[in-house]
Amino acid sequence: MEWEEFFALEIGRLWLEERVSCPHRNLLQAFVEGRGSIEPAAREFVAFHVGELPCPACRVEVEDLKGASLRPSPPLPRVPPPPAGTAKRLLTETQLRERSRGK
Amino acid sequence: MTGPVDPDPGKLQSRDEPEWDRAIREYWPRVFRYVGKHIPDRDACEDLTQSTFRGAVEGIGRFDRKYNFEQYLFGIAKNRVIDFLRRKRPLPWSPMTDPEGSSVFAGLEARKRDEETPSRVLIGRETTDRRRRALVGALRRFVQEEWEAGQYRRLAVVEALFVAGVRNKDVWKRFGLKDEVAAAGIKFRAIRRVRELLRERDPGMSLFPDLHAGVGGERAD
Repeated sequence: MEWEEFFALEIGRLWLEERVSCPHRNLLQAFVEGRGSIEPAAREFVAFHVGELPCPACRVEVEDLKGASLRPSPPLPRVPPPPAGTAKRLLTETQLRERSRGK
Repeated sequence: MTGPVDPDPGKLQSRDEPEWDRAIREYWPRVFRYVGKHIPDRDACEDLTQSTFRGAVEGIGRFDRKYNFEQYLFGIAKNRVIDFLRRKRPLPWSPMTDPEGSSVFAGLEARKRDEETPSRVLIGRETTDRRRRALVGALRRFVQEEWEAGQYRRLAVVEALFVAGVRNKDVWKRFGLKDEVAAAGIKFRAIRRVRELLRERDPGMSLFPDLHAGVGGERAD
């Protein structure tokens, strides 16, 4: 395999999984709040990374930060209740899984 | 109005069903809304909410009591959301416009669907922790160098090329580079630098036998 192919196939995947270039949360915070502590070129990088790449993990961080600091709360969607017996089912499933793993 | 009373970690850890039942009824709507904030698909929200609680039950033995249950639970929810979005990652901006449908990215997607290419099998099955660590270490170092040098745009170009799979001819326009050759140059230098950093970690390149033949094969584009 050539290096270029290796980069395209494997490094791209690893890059996001391992969050190789994800900006620190403080920087994302400054980005969200539009504070001056982030230089314009770095801001452009963050905008690309979050908005266009897009990095799923940083998108979630940014949405969380927006929710915490800026955005008014959206109307609450109707949430279905947990299916009856969820606790019992999850506990049983976990027990069975652990048993099959010999735990 | 008082907020939810934190479930008793001891009872949860001993898999006490009534305590889990209470915790699930109490936190289900909040986890569901949190997931829904990121993923506007009701079925997916329900699945991920279930999956969050499944993860919470499975991992409760390792629950660190310096955090509260809410932090523990939402940490799991967040990871579930990220994993979901990662799998669903949309196509990047420009390759969709390729009239021949032969963009690098589309090609890669097709290869992903076909799954087991020899390289993926090799990476997936034979990759040791050492190999992954070496790669991640080299990439982190590369990013750090670019960051410290203030080369933010170059870093974004690298992401566009290698992570989003966008072609040189689209990248140079998007980032206002001089021309396509400039994009190819950034790609070439990135490959070379990561290769060097990888060699520092694995001088004989024994962790990457599949890349031996390609050492001389790198191209500017």
